[in-house]
Amino acid sequence: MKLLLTGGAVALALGAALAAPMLAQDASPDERVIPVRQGEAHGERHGAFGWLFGQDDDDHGGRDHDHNRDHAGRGGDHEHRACGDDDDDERGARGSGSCEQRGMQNGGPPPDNGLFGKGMTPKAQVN
Amino acid sequence: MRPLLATLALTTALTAPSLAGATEVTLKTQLRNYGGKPAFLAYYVTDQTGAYVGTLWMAASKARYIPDLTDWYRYSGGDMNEISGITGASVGSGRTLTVTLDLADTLFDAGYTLHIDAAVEHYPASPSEIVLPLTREGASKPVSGRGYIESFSYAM
Repeated sequence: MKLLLTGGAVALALGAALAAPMLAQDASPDERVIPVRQGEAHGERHGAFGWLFGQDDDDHGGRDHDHNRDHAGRGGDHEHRACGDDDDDERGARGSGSCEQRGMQNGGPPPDNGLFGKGMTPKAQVN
Repeated sequence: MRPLLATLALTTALTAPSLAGATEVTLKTQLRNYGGKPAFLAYYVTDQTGAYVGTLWMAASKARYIPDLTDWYRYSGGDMNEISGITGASVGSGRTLTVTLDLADTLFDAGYTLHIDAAVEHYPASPSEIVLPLTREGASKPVSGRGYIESFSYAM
């Protein structure tokens, strides 16, 4: 009887020792640490967890970050000019005109699409 | 003297169409007090077949939300070169945007249609909120939008 109890205790201890690491790994998926490699944190997609960092940095429907579109007007191959083209709503002007929320704004030369008079400069005002 | 007159006549003939071919047009848009962030607005033109012709103005403070002007984006293919030089700030709730442009005379009474898309962050988009034939008779006659635009009119 004593031998049976001792054997049972040893079996229980062995089972617990083997099971504990597995339980610890699965206990809290939210607490898992995901390694971030260089380049992943700003939209590049590498490895299984790239999706987590490839999303936009705002709350606008989780749209993917498109660098050329989102940061257009900052030189390089971003040829177009869009007003106030920044990551911050409250920041000021870029591209055409001063881009205040109110007041006069002056555009640049418009596209040559046949809609505009030659040499005109568009003007806009928000009151 | 005769060569001088001939030269003068020729240069006048070459210059006149570009001078006479455009009219100053003012687009005036009054927004409703919808209470949200400033609205993005796209003004663009389609022809009698419904094909996109070009953009007249875009009020958009952040390029990233321009795709929310869904009809404009679909018509233009999202080509940002279409709006180079014709962009300005977005327009706050209850405010009025006045845009002054020299537009080709050929745009009026020729079957062209003006569209205005509106979009506001976190609010439903309002594509083609205003759809209006471009006619001289329609100038200075305000129309209402179904969403963010209280009234719109163009004067020439």
